[in-house]
Amino acid sequence: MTLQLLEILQSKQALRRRLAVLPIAEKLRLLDELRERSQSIGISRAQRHTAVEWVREWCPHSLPVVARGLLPAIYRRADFPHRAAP
Amino acid sequence: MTRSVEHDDEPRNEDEGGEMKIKEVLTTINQMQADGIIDRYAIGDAVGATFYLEPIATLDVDIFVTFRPEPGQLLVSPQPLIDSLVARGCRMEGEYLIIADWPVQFLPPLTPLVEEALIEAVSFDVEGVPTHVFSAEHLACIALELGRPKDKARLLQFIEAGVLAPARLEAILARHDLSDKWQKFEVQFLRGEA
Repeated sequence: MTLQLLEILQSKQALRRRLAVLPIAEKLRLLDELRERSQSIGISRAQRHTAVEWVREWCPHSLPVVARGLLPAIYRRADFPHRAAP
Repeated sequence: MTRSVEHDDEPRNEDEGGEMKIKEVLTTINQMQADGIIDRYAIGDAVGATFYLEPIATLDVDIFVTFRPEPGQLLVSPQPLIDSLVARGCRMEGEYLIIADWPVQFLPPLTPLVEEALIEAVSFDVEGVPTHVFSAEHLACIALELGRPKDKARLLQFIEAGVLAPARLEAILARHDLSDKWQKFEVQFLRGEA
C-alpha cells in the first residue's frame, strides 16, 4: 500500500488493464456480480434514508430550552471565563 | 466482422464462476432473432462497452433492434417482441422487459449513427453464444454524440484503453458531422496528450 498519488493512479490503471483483457465471459460474469452489489447498496441506502425520515418525523421541532436556573452556577460561569464582573 | 479477445481460447472450468445470468439474456435474444421476431440486434451502452473495456457496472442492458414489419403493415410495432418474451416467462417493469433478472430495454435506432452502428455490429462468441455488439468506434462516437458526463467519461476510457482504430474513428466522425464535437472534446480533455 502506498500514499503516493502517482503510484495509486498507476496501480488503478494497471488493475483496469488486467480486467479489460479478461475473457468476455468472465467480464460478463463480473457484470452480474456488480449489478447485484449495486442493488444491495441501493437497498441499504434506501433503508438508511427511511431511518432519517423517521427521525425527522419523530422530532419535527427544536429541542426545548432548559431554564437557566436549572444549571449549577459553576457551569454557567464556565461559559464566560473573561467577564468583567469582579 | 468477428472479433475475438485475448485469452478467449484458454480452457475454463464450467463451474468456475457459476452460470451467467446475462448469457441467458443473450440466448433469449438470439432465439427471438431465429424465430423472426426481430431482424438485427446489437448491444450498446455499458454492457456493449464491457466487451472492449473493463467491466462497467450497470443496472440494465440496452439492446438496439430493428423490427420486422408484419405483412401488410407499414408501421413496425414492438408488440410481437413483448408477446414473445412474456410467453417465455419474462415480465414487464415500466419500459423494461425483465429477462433472467436483468432489466432489458429494446431501443430502435433513432439516429443515422446508431443505424450504422447496428449494421456494422461486431460478432462475439460468449461461451458458444453468438452475440452482436456495437463496434468500439461506434460506441465511442455514440458517447460523443450523447455528450452526458458519463458518456464523456466512457469516451476517455476507450481512448485510455487504446481500443479505437484511429482511421475508422475519423471516418465515422466525418460521416456523422461529429468532427467539431470531437475537436472540442480533445481541447477539453486531451490537451497536452499525443
